[in-house]
Amino acid sequence: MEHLLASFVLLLQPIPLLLLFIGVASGIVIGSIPGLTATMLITLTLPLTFFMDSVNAITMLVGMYVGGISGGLIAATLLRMPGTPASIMTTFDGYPLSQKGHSARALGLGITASFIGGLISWMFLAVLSPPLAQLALTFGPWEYFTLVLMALVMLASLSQGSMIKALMAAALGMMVHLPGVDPSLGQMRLTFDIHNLEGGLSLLPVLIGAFAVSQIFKDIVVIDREPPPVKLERKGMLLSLADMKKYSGNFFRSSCIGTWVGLLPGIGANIAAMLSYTTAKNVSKEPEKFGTGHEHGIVAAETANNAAVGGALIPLITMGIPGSVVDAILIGALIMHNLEPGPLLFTTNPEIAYGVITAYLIGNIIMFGIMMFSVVHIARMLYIPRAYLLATILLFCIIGVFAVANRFFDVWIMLIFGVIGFIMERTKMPLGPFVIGFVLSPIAEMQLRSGLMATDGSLLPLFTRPFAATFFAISVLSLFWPLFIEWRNKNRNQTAA
Amino acid sequence: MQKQVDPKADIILAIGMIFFSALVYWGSLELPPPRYEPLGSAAVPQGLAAIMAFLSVLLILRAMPHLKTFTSKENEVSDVTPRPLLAVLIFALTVVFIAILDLGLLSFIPAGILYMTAIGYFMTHRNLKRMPRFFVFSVLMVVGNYYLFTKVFYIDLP
Repeated sequence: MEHLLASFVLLLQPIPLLLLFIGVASGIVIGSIPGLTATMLITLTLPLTFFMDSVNAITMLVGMYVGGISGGLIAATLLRMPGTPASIMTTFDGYPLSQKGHSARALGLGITASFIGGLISWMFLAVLSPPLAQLALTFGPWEYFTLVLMALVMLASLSQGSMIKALMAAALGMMVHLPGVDPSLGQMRLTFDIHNLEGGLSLLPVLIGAFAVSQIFKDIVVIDREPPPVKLERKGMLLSLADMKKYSGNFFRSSCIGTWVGLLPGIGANIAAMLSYTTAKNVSKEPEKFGTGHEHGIVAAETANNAAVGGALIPLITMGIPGSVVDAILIGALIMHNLEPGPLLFTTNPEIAYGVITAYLIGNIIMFGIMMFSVVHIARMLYIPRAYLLATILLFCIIGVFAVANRFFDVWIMLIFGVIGFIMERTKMPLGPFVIGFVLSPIAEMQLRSGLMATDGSLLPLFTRPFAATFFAISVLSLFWPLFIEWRNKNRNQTAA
Repeated sequence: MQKQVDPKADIILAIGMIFFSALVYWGSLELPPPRYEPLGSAAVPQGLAAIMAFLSVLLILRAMPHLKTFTSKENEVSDVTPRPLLAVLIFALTVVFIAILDLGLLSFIPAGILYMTAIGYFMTHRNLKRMPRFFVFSVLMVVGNYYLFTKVFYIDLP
């Protein structure tokens, strides 16, 4: 508790507060522009955080995370174009309500829902994180190895589209991290006599290439797409007490769903919003109204996607396991600042662990303030000419990557991964498992090899250690469950035919 | 509803991945056998290469039956005309820009201004009327970033 209070005192100082404000505001703006995501913004900001104090850097990135997910609702509501993948479900009811002439109401509902989702999930984050970190301290290499395995397999099995491609993406991410020094023996491997590969492929060029550069080229292909004009007023945005009472059940249920989904390793806010929306529809007395501008639909989607951010931060700070792609990048940011993500963070760097918790709460409050008072102005950002925006981001990608180590090798790598990311996108091979595989690969390998060294090569602890066995069982189940469902559906269809 | 991927693209992707796996496997063959620990340096690369190859074969097997039945839906009505050639052109200009900087043919400020103005020209439908504004914007962005990185972050740009 004292650490939490201390972090409030620390983050309420002018500089961290200003950086948090900048983070949330830029997150909202970028999140609101379709095609640009929080992931892209955070990745592009990473090089700048090199020159910052760790607490300030992580605080700003958390602010971007909160702002980026929330900002997505603006374009989703006004233009039926989800600003971020997390706000896809908001288009279903936000846009129809907006089309009925209630744009302000639709945005007000979305903003308030995002804020409440954030608050409730913050409570879970603050209450669950310290004891979970204590529990994680008892984990050995087998637990960590199976946890990483579980994260990768769950992410692959829950990815939209082909599970095979998701698994391939995860394996590709892990393979890309192989060149360089072997983490256990310190021996060079897979460098193919290329001197620059001896240090391995750095995180930033790979991330910026895969997420930002590929996205820029994808946006260039449809650069002529212009958003239709919208009329927006602020009047009617603030919800009444009666509204709050009316939606209280939905707020709570969706927050719990969002937090829980966020907690699961590797699964992001888009799945949370989808699950919450479906649940709200299933429990509703008027399910037929969903998809026609029903307010409960907006509340369910927006509460859950913001709550998922808080939920996803729990495995990140307690175990060093990413709850989503953005969290994988945040892990990268911690590593870049010479911090070890995981339970030890609470003892070695409590200002960071509790800083994340506090920044999430303050970030949500700032988000609510900015969105409520400036959404009309932010909506105008949707009309910034794409040519200016994309040219600036492309230039910034090049400088940002070069600046990290002052070498052009990284810039070429970024470009190569831009192409790889673009191809992956075109062939529907998800980028999420690729990035998480890349970030978690060294952890998985090191833990597996440490575990095997301790047991003289025996794999028995996979089945005898309770947590490791549980994580392993969940991994196996996650791998085969979708296949079982597919087989069952096929059988049913054949029987019906 | 997700757009279906052409099974040919899946097969090409899978073949590419098989080649990549083979490269990783071949690269790890020259690593010494394990001495101080049970696994050694080569096991993880070889294991991952095997998994990737297996998954790629699965992808090919799943794509094969759809080769004849798949019909491209490229002709679907879209609200905007895609410009893939523009993306290729911008990519080529980016490669040239990085190569110029890497080879030291020009310093960052002139190369950056030229690069941004050029990509702006192509992205705005080669509209010469918009050029002066884009040129001013490029100068501001390039010089601004140059000063930000060199004077604030103390990083030398080429």
